[in-house]
Amino acid sequence: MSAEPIDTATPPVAQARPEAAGGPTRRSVLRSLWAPALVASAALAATKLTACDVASGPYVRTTHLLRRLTFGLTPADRSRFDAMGESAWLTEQLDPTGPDVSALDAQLDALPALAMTAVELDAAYPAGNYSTASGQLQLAWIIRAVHSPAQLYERLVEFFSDHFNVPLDGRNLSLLKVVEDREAIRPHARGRFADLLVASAQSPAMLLYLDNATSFAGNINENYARELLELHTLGVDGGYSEEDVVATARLLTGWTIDRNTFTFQFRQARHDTGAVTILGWQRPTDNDYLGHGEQFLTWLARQEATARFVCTKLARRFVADVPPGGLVDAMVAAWHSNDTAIAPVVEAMVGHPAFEEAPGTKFSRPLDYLAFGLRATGTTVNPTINRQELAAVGQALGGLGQLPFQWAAPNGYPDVAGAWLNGGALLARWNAIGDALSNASPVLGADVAPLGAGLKGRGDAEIYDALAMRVLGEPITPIGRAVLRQATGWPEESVPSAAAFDDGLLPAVLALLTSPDAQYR
Amino acid sequence: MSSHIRRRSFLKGGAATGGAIVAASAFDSAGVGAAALGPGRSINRSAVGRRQGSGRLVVVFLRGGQDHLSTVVPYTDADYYDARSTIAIPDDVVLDLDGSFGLHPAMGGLHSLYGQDRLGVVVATGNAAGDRSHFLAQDLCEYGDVAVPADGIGWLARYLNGSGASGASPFRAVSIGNNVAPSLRGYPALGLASIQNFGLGGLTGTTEPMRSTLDLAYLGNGAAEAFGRQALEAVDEVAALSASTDSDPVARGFADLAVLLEADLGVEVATVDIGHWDTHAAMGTPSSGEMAELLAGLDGYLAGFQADLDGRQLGDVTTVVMTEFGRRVAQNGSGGTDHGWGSAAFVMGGAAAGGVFGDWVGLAPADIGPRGDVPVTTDHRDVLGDVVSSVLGADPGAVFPGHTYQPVGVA
Repeated sequence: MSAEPIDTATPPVAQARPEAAGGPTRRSVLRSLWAPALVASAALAATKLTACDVASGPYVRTTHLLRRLTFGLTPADRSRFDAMGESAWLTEQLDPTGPDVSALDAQLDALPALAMTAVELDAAYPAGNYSTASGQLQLAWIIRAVHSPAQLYERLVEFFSDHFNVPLDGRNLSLLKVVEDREAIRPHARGRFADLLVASAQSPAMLLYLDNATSFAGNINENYARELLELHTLGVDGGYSEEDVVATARLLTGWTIDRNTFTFQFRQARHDTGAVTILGWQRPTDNDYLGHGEQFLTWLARQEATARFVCTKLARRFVADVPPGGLVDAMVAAWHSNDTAIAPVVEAMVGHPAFEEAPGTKFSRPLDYLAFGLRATGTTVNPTINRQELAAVGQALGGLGQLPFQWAAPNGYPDVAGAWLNGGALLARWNAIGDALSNASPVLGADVAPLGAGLKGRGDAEIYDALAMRVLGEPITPIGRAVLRQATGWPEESVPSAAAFDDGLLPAVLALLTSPDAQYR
Repeated sequence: MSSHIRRRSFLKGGAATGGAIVAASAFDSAGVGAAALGPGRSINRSAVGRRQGSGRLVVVFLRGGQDHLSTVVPYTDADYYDARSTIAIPDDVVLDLDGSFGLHPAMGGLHSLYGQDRLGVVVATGNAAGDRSHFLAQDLCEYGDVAVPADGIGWLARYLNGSGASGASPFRAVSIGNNVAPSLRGYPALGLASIQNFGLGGLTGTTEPMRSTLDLAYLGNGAAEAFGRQALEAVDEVAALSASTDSDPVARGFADLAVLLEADLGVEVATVDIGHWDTHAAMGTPSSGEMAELLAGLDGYLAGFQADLDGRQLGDVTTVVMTEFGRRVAQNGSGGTDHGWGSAAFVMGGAAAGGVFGDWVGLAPADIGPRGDVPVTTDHRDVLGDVVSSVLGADPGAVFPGHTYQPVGVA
């Protein structure tokens, strides 16, 4: 995808790609080409050469905005966006009440674990079966990504789930993460960061994962305090010292989990009530010891280093692996002037000129890519509590290397191309989309027939143009037409027969979805 | 929907992407690995023993900060027992190395290799920066630097780029896993999660198969296109290899790696990650609990891998094992240990020299200072420098440009 207007005088394939001229065998072309090409790409830059694009066209802000802020284009969402206009659409997406999600919620009612308290989960999902509960959370992730009208909200939930990462690791964490997703992350993902931070700090899943639940006066555990400063707020270069880590751990001693309800509990008897100074913040002299920790977290959320760290990560997620400095500055300003509210920061990002730069160059993470493909093909993701079916979904996503909520370290899944782009990873992506289109899983119901609506009886080039617009949101290039000819087997400048059309439609869609273009958003 | 669709000799295991549901992550098993030898450079696979500079290297990274003192135990040091009242490994159960240090009792396989002079143990090693962030410390170890370098190039990539054979194989550097190890940043390494699933699926029917379409779509020069060609070329080669079906992704990764190393694919360096070493709580006793389980697993993976290599007569393969930092000397409030500094490293098989290496200053309060860490006496780049020199035949000064190499003698 490039920002250049479509050029009707684009050279034919052989000239656009001189290496293909002369018709050498494919293998010899690959042998001679791939080594220098890989050396050239050694820096793993996310840039692409327009000469290789399958699809390319004039820059369309709608396409760009929806590819960055949603999990992928669907005809319905595009129509809605066009009808509402960008500003109203964005406002609605960021509003706490958001678009109407009642149909989605009704669908998710089939996943009972999502609504359960920790006590109920504990009773319903014994040791041998807890993965059925966490599997429902993972399946819900895909259902929401593919089907939720509140697309930007789901993107923010995903972002903050990575930011405050807690993996589904073992029974206790798995069950508590189901609760945390519902009660800590989702309610605050488009609210105030300060509130989200406190909710995370008092979430039993986080308390267990980073061991603050067993950190007590005189016998601390530093794990949570360090990651709070390094990963959740200030960043590793945020200016804190080892002494600040220890002081933070002391301030949060006694923040633990009630053994009966599995909810947050402050055990003042095991709390270190001594004086605390952290980076200039001083503990008040009153006796509201729990409140002191909460006040400190809010103070942390308002720090310049925190604003810059979180805004840079947001810009990396939505704009570029190396976010433009001016863009981050604007977001940080919005952070401060709105007391850590997330929605104005997102609006500042989308409204900044830098947001428009380099469309189609952000390498999609594996789940971005899969959700994009499922949405582009109108695939239905069906809820299930069948253990084998849930396991099959897990295997499909595990093969991509990004099973939701399964990154073991507290920093969350990486967000730059260098972490995800290699040959084996591309192979896994092609296979995952091929599996989805083959209906290899009973949970996924793919049907590409609607993508071909109205195209039967048309000429091949016209069909290719329409399919590229419908799947990738951009007009096709001459190279793209050659790729689709290869996929469909339709003679050039022909009108495919009805049977040939039916046979070629699915391979054509697969070719578009496995193309280099589809790997970027 | 379309009934004509069929799987084309799809994944060898049958299931679409069956196998590991374990996600690769900074604490988890991912693995990376090998580089390719250039055309005309041949490997004498039957050669066993120490051969200067013509070997191949496997780098195993223990993610999360692996505890030195439970693994390579200073069992004659009273300060160690004072600092760890419930989790220390008693002196009567360690597997003695040299009269001062012993391996955890779960590490019988590695102890046996030590007895054959095929395992080198380095004590009190680490990154000179001494940072306690997992993520910064891992990065620094993998850059081979004390600060994040401007070019963002990993140390293995620096070696590979500096010894670039033209027309290198896509397998020259392989990471076992979905993500490529950061030590290979800046080199187009291949991520290979498993041989079993490293096949091309897609659709067949009355039209061209997926393969020829992809060959055309990935003919350009962008990054995705180049890696796409890497995948397509690698698929053809991997198709002929036997795949491990072990349900443990790390064991499967090592088994697959041995197969890759034996095949004539040009594998030169490989990486494997083993996760879950961030033991902040409940490390347990010598015979049960998390640490005993982790170390039994590690011993099984490493000794098993070495036995596999031996069975294939791959004496040119050397394995080095490292982590981002060791853990604090004293245990914490949760029966675990917080982030520390000095760690243990191993060099196994191939060019490894048997023995215990590195200086030990002790664990007395005056020695460990206010941070309470095992003091680092051997820069990790000197351990890696040994294998760069002895195994890969390269100049450690070029691979670690900001560092003056001081040989350790472990390889």
